Amino acid sequence: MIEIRDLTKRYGGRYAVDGLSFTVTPGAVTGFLGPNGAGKSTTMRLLLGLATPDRGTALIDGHTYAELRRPLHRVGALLDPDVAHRGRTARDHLRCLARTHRIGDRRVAAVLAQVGLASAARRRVGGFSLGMKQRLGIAAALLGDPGVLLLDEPVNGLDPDGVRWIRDLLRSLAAEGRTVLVSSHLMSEMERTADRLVIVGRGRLVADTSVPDLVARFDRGVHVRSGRDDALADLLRTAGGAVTAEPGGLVVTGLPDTAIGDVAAHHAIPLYGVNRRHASLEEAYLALTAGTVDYRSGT
Amino acid sequence: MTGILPAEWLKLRSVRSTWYVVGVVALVTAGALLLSWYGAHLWDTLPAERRAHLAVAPPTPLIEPVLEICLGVLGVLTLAGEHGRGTIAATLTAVPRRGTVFAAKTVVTAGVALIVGLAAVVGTSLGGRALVGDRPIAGLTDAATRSTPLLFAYAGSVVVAALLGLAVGAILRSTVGAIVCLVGIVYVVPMVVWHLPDPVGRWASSLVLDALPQQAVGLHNEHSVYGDALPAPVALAVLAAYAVVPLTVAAVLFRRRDVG
Repeated sequence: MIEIRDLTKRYGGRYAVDGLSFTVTPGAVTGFLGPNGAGKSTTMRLLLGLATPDRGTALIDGHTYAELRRPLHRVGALLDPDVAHRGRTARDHLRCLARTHRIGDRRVAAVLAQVGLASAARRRVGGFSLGMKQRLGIAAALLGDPGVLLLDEPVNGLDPDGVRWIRDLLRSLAAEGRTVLVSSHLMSEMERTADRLVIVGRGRLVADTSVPDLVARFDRGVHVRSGRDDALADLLRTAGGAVTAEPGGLVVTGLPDTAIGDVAAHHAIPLYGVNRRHASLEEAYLALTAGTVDYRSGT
Repeated sequence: MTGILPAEWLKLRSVRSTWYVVGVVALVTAGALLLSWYGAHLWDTLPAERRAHLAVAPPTPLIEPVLEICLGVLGVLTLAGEHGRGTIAATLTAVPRRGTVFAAKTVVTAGVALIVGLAAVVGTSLGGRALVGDRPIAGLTDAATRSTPLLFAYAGSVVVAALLGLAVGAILRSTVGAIVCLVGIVYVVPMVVWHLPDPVGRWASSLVLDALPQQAVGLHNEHSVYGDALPAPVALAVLAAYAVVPLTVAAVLFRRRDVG
């Protein structure tokens, strides 16, 4: 359980986080979304006690991070893929962290195997690809078998296999009842991974919602192609849908796909296509954060 | 959280830079022994009437500044190195109590500096004496070379330099900046101070780091750029202050400042 209350942090007069409040519950993957510079990393640093808030609190299971007795057993964090010394081997990097909690070398070997780095355990981190560093960072986060995971941009630099691996890992961690907060600026990735979304822009909360709710808010309807569009349009309106005709088909809102299919079948109208216009979450996200982007490209 | 000391020790010995530092210290020690051997060899080849005039620079104080820089750099890397690489975030995530982290780094740095410093100082001193034997050579067989307290004072000033490096590194959070400071304190300040007119020069040259070990054990800095105006207890206190004052400032800042 993570509780952020009125969290505020200023750097040189600029608000990195500005009165942010939200809660992250166990048993789900919560996506922490926002454009670059929205305050995601700052929030994570404040949660981990690396920086002190100007106002407000960031609590983990009701405690500030500094109060946690054996923090690696409570919270696993992936902040920056470069937190390991380039000259140290992957195994030694984890052993340095493990020693502070008297975690044995067997656990170190186990997490290295879990993230697929067993064969690279004795290689120096300086020779790692970005994806391997991310895996090492995730191994460090898992080291103490914590109930809370904070991962800042974990899919950065991962190949498609790695991205899928992270997604499955996060889902299984949440299924085990852990609290999982994953930041990203990529909506498309969170769409497949997260159950809940906390969206921030310029340090403020933009939306705190579930993925289906966000989709529903930006529902663009279902595109239907059929053998008799005019007749189907009338029938769907009768069934309670709103229908607009478009070249090449109908756009129906307010009805589930199944209802449209049932109506058509009942009246023997052949359907050629039923496509929900997934108000792509990407668009929903862009619409929500439109006014909050700090660093926009010049085009 | 007693695991922090083993963790910091593993951190130090699992990177190559630590062993490079130890390697340089070993080389310098070997160089000092070579100098003693050469002094003895020279003495043997000289005609008897010229032997009395042979003087060799005492090897231990000669390498002392190099030892201080080496272990000082190790101290810098211990903390400023972590800031430079961003590894400090992982360190403080594992142990959020910063006072504990700082204390552990101080203990490990001091311990390593004491062992390495003592090994180098005792090695050059005892090894040199063994090589020279009973030949009376100025610089190599002076009373000072037989003073056990002086050897400990030399090793102590290596520890002080290491802790100074750790502290300046923690304050500046920049490896390069801290090493420049360290070189300034060990090499540049004594050079400037040497040129000051007396009586300021005499006092100032008594206060520089490498002037302190001899004074701390009540010996005079003869034939030296270093002054000897301080009584032994004062010299000892000044030597300690070189580490304690910056460490105190560093500890306060380390606890207060945001990371990253």
